[in-house]
Amino acid sequence: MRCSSRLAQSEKQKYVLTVEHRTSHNRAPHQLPAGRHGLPRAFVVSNQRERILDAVLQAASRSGYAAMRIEDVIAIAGVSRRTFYDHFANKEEAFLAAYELVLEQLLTGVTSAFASGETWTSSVRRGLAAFLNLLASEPVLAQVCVVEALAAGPRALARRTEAMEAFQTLLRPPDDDVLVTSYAPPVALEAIVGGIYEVIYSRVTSQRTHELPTLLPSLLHSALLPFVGAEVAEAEYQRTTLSAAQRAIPTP
Amino acid sequence: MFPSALPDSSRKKRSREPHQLPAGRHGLSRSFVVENQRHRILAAVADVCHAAGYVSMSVEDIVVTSGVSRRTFYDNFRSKEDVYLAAYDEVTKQLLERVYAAYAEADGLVARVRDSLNAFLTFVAEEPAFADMCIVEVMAAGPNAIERRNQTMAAFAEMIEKAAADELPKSKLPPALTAETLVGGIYEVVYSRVLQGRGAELPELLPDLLFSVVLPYMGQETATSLLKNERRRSKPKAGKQADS
Repeated sequence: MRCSSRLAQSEKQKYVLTVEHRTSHNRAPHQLPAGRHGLPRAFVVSNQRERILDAVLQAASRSGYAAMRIEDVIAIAGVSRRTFYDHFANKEEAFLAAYELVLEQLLTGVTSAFASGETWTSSVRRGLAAFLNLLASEPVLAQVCVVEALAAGPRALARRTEAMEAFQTLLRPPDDDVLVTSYAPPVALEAIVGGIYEVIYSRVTSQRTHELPTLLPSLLHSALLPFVGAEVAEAEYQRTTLSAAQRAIPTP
Repeated sequence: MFPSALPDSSRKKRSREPHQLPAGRHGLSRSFVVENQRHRILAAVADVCHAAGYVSMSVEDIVVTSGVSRRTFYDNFRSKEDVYLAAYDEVTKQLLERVYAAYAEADGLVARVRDSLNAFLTFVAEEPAFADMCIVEVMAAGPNAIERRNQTMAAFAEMIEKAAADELPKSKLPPALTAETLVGGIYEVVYSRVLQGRGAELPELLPDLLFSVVLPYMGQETATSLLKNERRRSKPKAGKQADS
């Protein structure tokens, strides 16, 4: 399963490795010809970097960060060891760059969905739905962002903490929102984001990433409850469950 | 937690720690010796994990720290992962015993949540090495460790669900995923403090975490007044002892 990158769709097709198309030099179609090929250096470099990052995502999600080897990455990317080290100092650096890429993708998807809501509660619903749907449709991204980032050292953990704080900001309602009736201490908000994360984590680590969209009603309820009160939270829960049923998505 | 004090041997050769058994024949029963060694190894896992993290921890580090021989280590455990899981299980068993004990003593959802949460936060605050090992390093210790951790979290979620089911009619219960989400949230709050070496601050968060857990079950009013009461309770007044 491929993970999206910022490349155009046509470019992405080139990255599908098919053994039967290898040339006599054992090069896959997307691999640049060895030696001088007359392509601008910037293009070559950017192409290589993207392929390495994509390969890091694949390798990390397959074997886990700890067991991931540079050998695996360069084999998937179709680059030389030398080329890898031209771009990245070590495994950790490469992972951090790949993580940054997918985090950005995730945050962009969530914040733009969030921004499309007309009220804070509908923003939260859209943002959370986008989040769960994106993870479910991109299992490699989910594995890297949700699981592997926790096992990739202190810098990845620090980046993750920043991302969690960004989510917390979205889940804090504006003071003047008409539906917001009550106060919740900051730690409660931290616990909401943390709880949503943990529920997702447990599904991803048990090969149930595809179930994530079914969690929307309950996670939405948890997110809204401290701010809008039990009745409104319950109504949102029912409404979200109902519309999922209408789209024939099973709910727990 | 890992008792290691032994009668001091008068035969002190090779700069041996007081808890280390004398080399060779010492007339102690085999089972006693084995228990002692096993405890020392497990205690060393917590210390090394805390100092170096799981990934860089080595069997050599554990052997040196515990003062057992490499042979003894491999008599007891197969690998780094094996000994880590054993240490994790031992600490988690102690933690759950403490939490269950507090839970069992208490009456009603609010008291049960409060007292078990308090027992949990206090344990974490008092045992930074164990907290590091079981809460932070577990995430980097492989799928078996993560499975154990998920089971521990499920046990906590069940406690909340049982307390709620004992007290509330079915119609008043929040969505089924709520307990799991709450336990996950508490975990994350605790994780971030332990990661930053601020585990000692955790008992101060009891009021806010209690609020979070009670809210979906007992409603905003009850949760908010609990928050206020609990905060007042933990603030020491000038010239008076803080309430326990």
